[in-house]
Amino acid sequence: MTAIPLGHLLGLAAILFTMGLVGVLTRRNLLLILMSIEVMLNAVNLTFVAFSRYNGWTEGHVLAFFLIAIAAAEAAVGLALVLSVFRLKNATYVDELRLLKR
Amino acid sequence: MPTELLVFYVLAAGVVLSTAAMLLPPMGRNPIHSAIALIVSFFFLAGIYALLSAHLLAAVQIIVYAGAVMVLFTFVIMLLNLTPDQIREPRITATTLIGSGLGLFVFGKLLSALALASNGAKSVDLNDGTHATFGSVTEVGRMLYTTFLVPFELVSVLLLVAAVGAVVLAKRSLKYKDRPKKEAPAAHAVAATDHDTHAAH
Amino acid sequence: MLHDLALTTPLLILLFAGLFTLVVDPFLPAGDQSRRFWGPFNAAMSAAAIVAAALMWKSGHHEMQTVAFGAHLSASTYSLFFVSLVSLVGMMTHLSSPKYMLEQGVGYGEYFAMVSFATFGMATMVSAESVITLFISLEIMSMAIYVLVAFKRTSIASVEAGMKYFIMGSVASALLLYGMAFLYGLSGGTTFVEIQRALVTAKPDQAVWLGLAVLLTLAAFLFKVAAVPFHMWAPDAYEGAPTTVTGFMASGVKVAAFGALLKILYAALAGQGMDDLHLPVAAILSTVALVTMTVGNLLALVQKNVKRMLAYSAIAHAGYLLLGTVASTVDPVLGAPYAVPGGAVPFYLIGYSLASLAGFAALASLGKNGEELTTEHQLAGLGRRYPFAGAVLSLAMLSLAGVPPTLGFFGKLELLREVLAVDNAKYLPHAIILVLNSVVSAYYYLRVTVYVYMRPEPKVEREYVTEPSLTWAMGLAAAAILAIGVMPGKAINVATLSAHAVRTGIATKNLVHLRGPDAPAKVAEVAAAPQEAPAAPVAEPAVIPQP
Repeated sequence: MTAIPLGHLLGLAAILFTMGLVGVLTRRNLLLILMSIEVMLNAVNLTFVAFSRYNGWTEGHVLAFFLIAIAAAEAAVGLALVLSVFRLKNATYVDELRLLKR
Repeated sequence: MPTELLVFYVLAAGVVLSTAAMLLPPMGRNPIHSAIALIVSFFFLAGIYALLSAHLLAAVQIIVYAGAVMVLFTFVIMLLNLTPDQIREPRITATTLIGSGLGLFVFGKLLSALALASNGAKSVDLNDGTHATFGSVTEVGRMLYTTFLVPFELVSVLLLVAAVGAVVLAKRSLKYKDRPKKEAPAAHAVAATDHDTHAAH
Repeated sequence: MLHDLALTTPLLILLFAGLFTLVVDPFLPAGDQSRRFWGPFNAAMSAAAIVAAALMWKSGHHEMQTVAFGAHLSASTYSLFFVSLVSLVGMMTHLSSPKYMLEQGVGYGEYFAMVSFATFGMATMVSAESVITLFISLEIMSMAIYVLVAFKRTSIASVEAGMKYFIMGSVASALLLYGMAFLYGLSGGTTFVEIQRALVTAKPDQAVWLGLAVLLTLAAFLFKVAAVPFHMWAPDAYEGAPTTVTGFMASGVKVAAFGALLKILYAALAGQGMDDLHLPVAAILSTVALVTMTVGNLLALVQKNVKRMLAYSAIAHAGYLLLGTVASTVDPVLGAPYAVPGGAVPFYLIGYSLASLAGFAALASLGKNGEELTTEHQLAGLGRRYPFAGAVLSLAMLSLAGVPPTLGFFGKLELLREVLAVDNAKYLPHAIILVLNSVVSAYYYLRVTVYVYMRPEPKVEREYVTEPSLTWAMGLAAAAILAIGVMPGKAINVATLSAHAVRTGIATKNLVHLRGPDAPAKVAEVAAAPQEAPAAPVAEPAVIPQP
């Protein structure tokens, strides 16, 4: 009995990745942008786990652990940057920043 | 419909809906609500990992991701102390439309590629017992300290760099700051609080 | 295990420099003056890393013995060359920084630790033999550089530049990871050798998947080198960052990204030739290269700020280098179907990074009292008031423009020669556009020289940052540009040797005869061979049976 087809898991990951990408591209709040990046990393994690589960490879599992550590490091640096931007400009929206107006 | 598939659909719907709630108003208007929606999404994702018998990963997902990382987020949001007038309604602008269009295009490409690729994917019985040790602490731990020893050590350097970097960037003031700045900082920001100790952890 | 650890000596030296700086810094006497010591100290450590790499180069070919190391790092000639080059970049940055950062009011010990960590990340990145090691070291480099860009925390330009770079960089990282996830799904492994083996035997229905993985991976690298559709971050980040950090980014990140790109292209993705990837990779790269160099040069023409101009010029140079990546030749060891990159890209990178470092070091001397005097008009009088910096800046511009006696000229010449040698001048139109671009670029490079020497000096008496180590940085870079420019033969030789060794890190015997009509049988043979336990001392990464 095969419970969940691989395609379903990869599809869910693709949906999540796209949501994260759209979030980064469209939202103007720095915190929301950082959260969207976390969503993208989670989608990748799900892809790794899906592949490793369906083939019985343990590597994908280990890679998922590395990814969580990397995501934590990115969150720390990103939030520190948000804080120092906020200190100087009192703003968390990208359109209030000169350089970030795209 | 097999039970596992049903559970998967419920969890997947939970992930997608809570992530959507994070991004879109009404919840997506306020960063703290978004953060909570994201935590919920991580919990659903942990459920999917558990369903795939990646139990250790499911636990780590909750402890590290939902626990540590998102607590960091909420903590920073609290530090920012945003007032209602600093929170704005997301508007639909040209960027929003272009961004969404681009995102949907990528999504279409992804799905078509996935559909083509997973045609030939074989079905694997998740309960057949051949992968009994899959995702166990023993298995993962052994791999982490043998084959993946070098990346593992490198991650420790990465975390050190991130920790030191975050402190350097976010500290209110570093020690021995006696030089008058040419470029005056805006508003209340960098008032010298010299009780802070030096940044090198 | 110890043998393998010894092979990572250059990397360990760089890591040690960063850690030592971090740990000892709090014990130094208070006051920023004592922090200037870290510049020469870290520079000396980078020099030690270069010496270690050079000694290893001299002593011949090295292979990692255990899976733990061998599957993830290599000490091949190729890696050693790029490790020395990024260490050189780190050394110059350390030398040019101390006084400048002090004048900017941020002369902290953490700055030097971060530069050392970033250099370590770059060195690991070019030594990587698996996508996971490549990615983690890329992140170490990027994290350190996000922090360095925003290091001048009281300057809104600096912090915003860091924020922008961070957002764009994180998206690129996510794309790279997604690409890696698909490569993993196809191959079941993370090492370059496993990926290559899987691509050899990829079934037709996996081609789309493979194309997607390669496309995502390429996009991330194009972002890192600031190629055109992904170049928006570069001008702001370059302008907002402290000048010495800009020099470090312009040279170091480019060297590391191209070092890793060449390796992943040739050692992991392209087994035989570039167009054998189920995706016209060579066509994509050469087209992106043309657009990148043209857009970069045209936008550089209208810039008034020299830092911003150099950012666009860096984009243009990324275009030249990308064109160089498609110039492949036959692998001298493995023979016919296997391709290796030519020596042009590594050689061009030597010239480009030295010229960038010299130019930004000279610009750093304009950073007195926290000011950033980097518009063209503010350069007026530099040639008379601070003749040495003026001369070095002019030399750097001449080298970037590719004027004959300098290293930049021979870099372009070598690049053109190799690009034209591919398939009976298949890339002739590309080469012509490259030459036209170089001519256009000469205009804005020479304009800087005109401002330095031929414009009336400003009324106000201007002070410059002067310091022995900054003078050393400028002098060394300038001397190298001239010296290698006069005698380029040896450097071209070294670059070519290293480029041809791109595949030697990944246990060459795994790759021989994997292609051709009998490939599936050979792969089955390899897969069926008795496997050793993961920790056992074998000279090749564990072979994972094909799905």
